[in-house]
Amino acid sequence: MSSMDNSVALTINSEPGWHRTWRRFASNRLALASVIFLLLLHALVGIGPLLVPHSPETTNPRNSFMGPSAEHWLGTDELGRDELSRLLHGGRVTLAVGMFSMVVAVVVGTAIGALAGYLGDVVDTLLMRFTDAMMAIPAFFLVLAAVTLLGSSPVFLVLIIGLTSWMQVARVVYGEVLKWRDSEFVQAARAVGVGGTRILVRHILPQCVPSIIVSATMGVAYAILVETAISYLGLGIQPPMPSWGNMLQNAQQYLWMMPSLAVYPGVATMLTVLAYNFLGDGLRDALDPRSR
Amino acid sequence: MLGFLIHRLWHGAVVMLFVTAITFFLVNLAPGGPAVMMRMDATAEQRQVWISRLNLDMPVHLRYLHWLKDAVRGDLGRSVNDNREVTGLIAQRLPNTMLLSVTALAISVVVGIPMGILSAIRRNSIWDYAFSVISVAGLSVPAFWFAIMLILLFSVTLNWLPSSGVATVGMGFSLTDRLRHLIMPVIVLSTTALPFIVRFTRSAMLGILQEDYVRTARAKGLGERTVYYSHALKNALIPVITQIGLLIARLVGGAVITESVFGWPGMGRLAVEASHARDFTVIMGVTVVIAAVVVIINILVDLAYTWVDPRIRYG
Repeated sequence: MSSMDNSVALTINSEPGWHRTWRRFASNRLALASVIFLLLLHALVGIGPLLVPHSPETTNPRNSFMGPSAEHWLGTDELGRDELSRLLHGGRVTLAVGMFSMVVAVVVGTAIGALAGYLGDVVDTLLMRFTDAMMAIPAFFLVLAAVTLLGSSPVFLVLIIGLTSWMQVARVVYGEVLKWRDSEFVQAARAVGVGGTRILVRHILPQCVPSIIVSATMGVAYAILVETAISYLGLGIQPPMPSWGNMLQNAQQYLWMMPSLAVYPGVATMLTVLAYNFLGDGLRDALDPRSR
Repeated sequence: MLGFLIHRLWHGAVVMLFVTAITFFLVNLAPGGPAVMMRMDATAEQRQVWISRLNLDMPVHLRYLHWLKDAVRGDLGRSVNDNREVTGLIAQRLPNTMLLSVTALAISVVVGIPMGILSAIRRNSIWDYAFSVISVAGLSVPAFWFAIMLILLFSVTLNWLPSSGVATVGMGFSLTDRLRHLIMPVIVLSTTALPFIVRFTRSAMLGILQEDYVRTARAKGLGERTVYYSHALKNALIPVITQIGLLIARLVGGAVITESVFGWPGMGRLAVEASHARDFTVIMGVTVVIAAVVVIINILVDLAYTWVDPRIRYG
C-alpha cells in the first residue's frame, strides 16, 4: 500500500464536490431549462406588475369579456379587469405563498426530524407517532378545517400550508440523522467533548442539507398546488386580491363564454409546478446519483 | 401473525388518538371556534342549549374526553347549522367517495404498474422517458384545473359527457348513465395516484434487477421474460404495496377537489360545504372519519404485506 494509491485518490478528489454535482445537474436538460424558466418567471412577476398600466383590481363592467387587444394583451375578465395584470399580481401572491409555506415546512420538519432522530427514546416515539398521525389525516381536510377556523389571510395560509406539509421533510431528516448519529466523525467530535447541540447543528445537519434541498424544491410545488386548490374553492386568498387559484374560481362559470380565462392561470400554475418538480428531480439525481 | 395484528391495531389506535386530539384542539382553541360562532342575537335560553350541547361550560380537555367517549360509541354530534346527526350526513356521503377513490386507485394500479415495469426493463428508452414525463406532468397539473379542462373538452366542446353529479337528475337508475358521470372524476382523481405508482414500480423493479439472484437466474440461462415476470416482478411488487397504502391519504385528499369541481356528493364536498358554512362539528366528524378510513386501509395493506412477504412475520 504505497503513496501511489494515495496520490491517485487525491487526484480523483481534487474536483470539488459541488463542481461534480453541478456537472451532473447541468447534463439534465429539463432541470436546467426549469431553472431558467423559474428565474424568468420570478423576475416577471417581480417586475411585471410595475410595467402593466392597469390595476388588477379596478373593475370596468362595460369592458367585461373583451378579447386580446393592444390595450389589454390577454383581454379582460367578467368584471372588466385586465387579465394580464391579474395574472402577474396573482403570480406574486401564489409564488410567495408557495415559497414561504415551504420555509415553514422545512423549519418545522427539520426540527422535528432532527430532534426525534438525535434524542431517540421517548422523544423519538412521541414525535414520530405525531408525524404518522399528521400523515394519516389527508392534509387537505386539515387545511380546510384550519382555514375555516383561523381565516385565510396570506400569512395564515402560509402557516396553515406549512404546518400541514412538514411531515415529508421530518421523515427525510429523521432518516439522515439516524444514519449519521453514530458515524465515526460524530463519535470523534463527541470524544473531544463537543456538546450535543453543536454536534447536531454543526456536524449532523449539514449532512442532511442535500436531502432537505430536494424536499424543499418539491415542497414549493406542493404548496403552490394547495394554495391554488384552496383558493379555487373560495376558501383561500380572498378577492379582490388575485391569486392563480381564485382567478379560476369564476372561470368555470364562464367556461361556455370565455374559456381563455380558465386557461391562462391554469397553464401558469402547471408550468411553474412542473418546473419545480423537474428541478427537484434534477437536484436529487445530481446530489445522489444512486437514486436514478 | 396475531402478535403483528395486535401491534398494528395498537399503533393505529395511537395514531387515531393523535388525529382526534389534533382536530379537536384545532377546532376548539381556534379564535373562530364554537364560542364565537354563537349567534349574537341568541336568547339566553338558546345560549344555554348551545352551551350544554357542546359542553362549553367545561374545560377544553374534559370536553375532548366527552367528545372521544361519544365518538367511540359512534356519535359525532350534530351539525351546528341544521341539527342533523353528523354520522348520518357522513353515511350518505362516504359510499360516493369510496366508489370514486377505489375506482381511481384500481385504474392507477392496473395502468401504473405495467408502465413502471416497462420503464424499468427498457430503462432510458423512449418509453421510460415518455412515462417519466407523463408522471411528472400528472404530479404537476392542478387537479381542479385539469378537471375544468376536461369539462371544456368533453362537455362544452364535444358534448359527450355530463359535467357534474353522479346521475342525470329525474332519470331512473341506469348503469350507463352512472358510468358516464364517473368517467371524468375518475380520470382526474387517477392523476393524483398514477404518477406515484409508476415511479415506485420503476424504482422497485430497478432495485430488484440488480440483485444477485436475478443475475443467477440469467446466468443459468433463463429467458429474459421468465427472469422479469416470475423472478423479479413478485419481489418488486412488495414495496409497491406499502406505497399504495400511503397513497390512500393523498387520494382521499384529492377527492375534495375532484368532488367539488364535478359536483360529486362525497365526503370532500361535504367538508367544503361545511367549511363555507363554518359548521365545525361536521368538519371535525368528516376529518376524523376520513383519517380512520385511511388508518384502517393502511392496517389492511400491512396485513396483505405480511401475507406476500413471509419474512415480515418473523422479523
